[in-house]
Amino acid sequence: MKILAITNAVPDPRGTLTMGELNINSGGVKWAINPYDEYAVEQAVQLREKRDDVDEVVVMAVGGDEAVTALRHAMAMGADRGVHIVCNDVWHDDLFIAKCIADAIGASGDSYDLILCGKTNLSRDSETMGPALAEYLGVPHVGSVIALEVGDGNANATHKIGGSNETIEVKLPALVMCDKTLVDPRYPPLPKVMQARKKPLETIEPANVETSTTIVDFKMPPEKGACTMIDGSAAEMATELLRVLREEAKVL
Amino acid sequence: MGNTLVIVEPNQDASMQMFTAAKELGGDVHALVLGTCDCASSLPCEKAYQVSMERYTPLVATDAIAKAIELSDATTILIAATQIGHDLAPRVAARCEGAVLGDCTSVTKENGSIQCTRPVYGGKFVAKVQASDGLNVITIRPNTFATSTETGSPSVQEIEKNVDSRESILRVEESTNSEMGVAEADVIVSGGRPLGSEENFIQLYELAHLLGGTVGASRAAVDEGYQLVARQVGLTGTVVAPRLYIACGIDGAIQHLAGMRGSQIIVAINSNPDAPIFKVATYGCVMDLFELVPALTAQLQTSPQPA
Repeated sequence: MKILAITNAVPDPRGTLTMGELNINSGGVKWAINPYDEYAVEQAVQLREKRDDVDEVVVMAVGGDEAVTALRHAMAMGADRGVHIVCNDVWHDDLFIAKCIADAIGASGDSYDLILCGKTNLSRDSETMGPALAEYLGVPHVGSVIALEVGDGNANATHKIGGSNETIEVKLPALVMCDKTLVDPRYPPLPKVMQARKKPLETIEPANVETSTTIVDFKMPPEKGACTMIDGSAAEMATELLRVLREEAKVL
Repeated sequence: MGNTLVIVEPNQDASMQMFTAAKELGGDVHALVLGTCDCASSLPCEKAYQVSMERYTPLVATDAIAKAIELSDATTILIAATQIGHDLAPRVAARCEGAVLGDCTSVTKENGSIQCTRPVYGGKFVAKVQASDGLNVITIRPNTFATSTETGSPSVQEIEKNVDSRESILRVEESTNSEMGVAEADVIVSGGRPLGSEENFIQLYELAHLLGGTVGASRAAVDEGYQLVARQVGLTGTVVAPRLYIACGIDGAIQHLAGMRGSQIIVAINSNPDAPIFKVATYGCVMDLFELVPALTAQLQTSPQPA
């Protein structure tokens, strides 16, 4: 059994981002692995540790040099090798990323029984890469998974939908989008980080994939108008707040 | 410019908002109902399609939508950015060789092509994205457009359901807790660490229920164990954009603000007048939440919300 985990590099959310040309100014940005991808990598590594039939955990990322940060982190967590699909353009939409990965898998001749990715990408603020990749690969997928049992040739994946927990059985190969609470990602200690630098990292050029959407404008979100402060005692405040919510904001 | 196909989840108000968006884009509007409901024949559109599915699964829904796209000659597909919408849109776009524009907060037509704005980088920036020349599958955040109150009398065509043996629903466990999730709530009353205990959150639930909403929590409150992680609002929790967000005792860490600043109206209740939450709030109350929340609850109980 072979498992693939998809990783992305995202700007460290604690850092400051400044505006560049139709994107952020990438100079000086501190990159980190997308937090949701850590669940995917951890799940993959745990399966490898618990089962005898997992031969390999491969991690793959599309992007510029920053993608290596995510791949090395994933290898420090325990993935066996990495594949970096080099792409330096400023904007990739999720379908582009998915297509690059699907093409790379096809060209490599590797076939994966389980593909894991994070539920959300925190730089594109999107949840659309996983289902698109599953479709390009022609495999079923389950989104927002919080519990996963992998059997022989099938997997039972549980997610919350509406007010209920739904468990879907998918035949392998399948793609699973990992949500919080699925597993507890390990923080790799320094020796593992050092070892990860020696693990194989293959660099490949993407196939000829075109982006179908383009960014035409990029800006800061509109400033919220100044906050209207409401004064008085608690009872007076409550009365006034309910009044403005009903009469001015019209949200009640 | 081709037609627009609206994907309708039964009993989902956000789906009815897609008709308002469709009308602004022009062209004929068709609709596909995912599931059985009596609503199909009165939807505000020219033609309606329906596929009988009791619960959503991606492969069955994708197959039905691909068929409806062909039947309706649609080049624009509008889906509410719900959990199902997020799950479905990219699969449909990939199947039909289209583009996906996800989680849009505005959709306009400029010089004949569709442009959408959407938040990126944790909501710190807004990108305007130009759609492709071909098929575009667009998910729109709930409450971006008003709910359509129009009705129509379209003919309804049943689309054959194509069961795929590679996916099947094994079991559904109705949550013992019937409380609404934060993602679908229209009103969220959120609490931070100052709540101090799980018991004290009951006060927020009382207020939230009177307003027809539910309760959210800051990461600090979740870390303290006052609420489950499913209630966490923020970049590493759930990103929400309700009509009304009331932050009680939440200072407003960057990660929290990124997860709720898209809300239509934000009320901040905090005893610290310098808390960053006031920078994104529409209305601010410098007050101890344990005084103001009960006062709000009491006043709502005597003059309840019109249903």
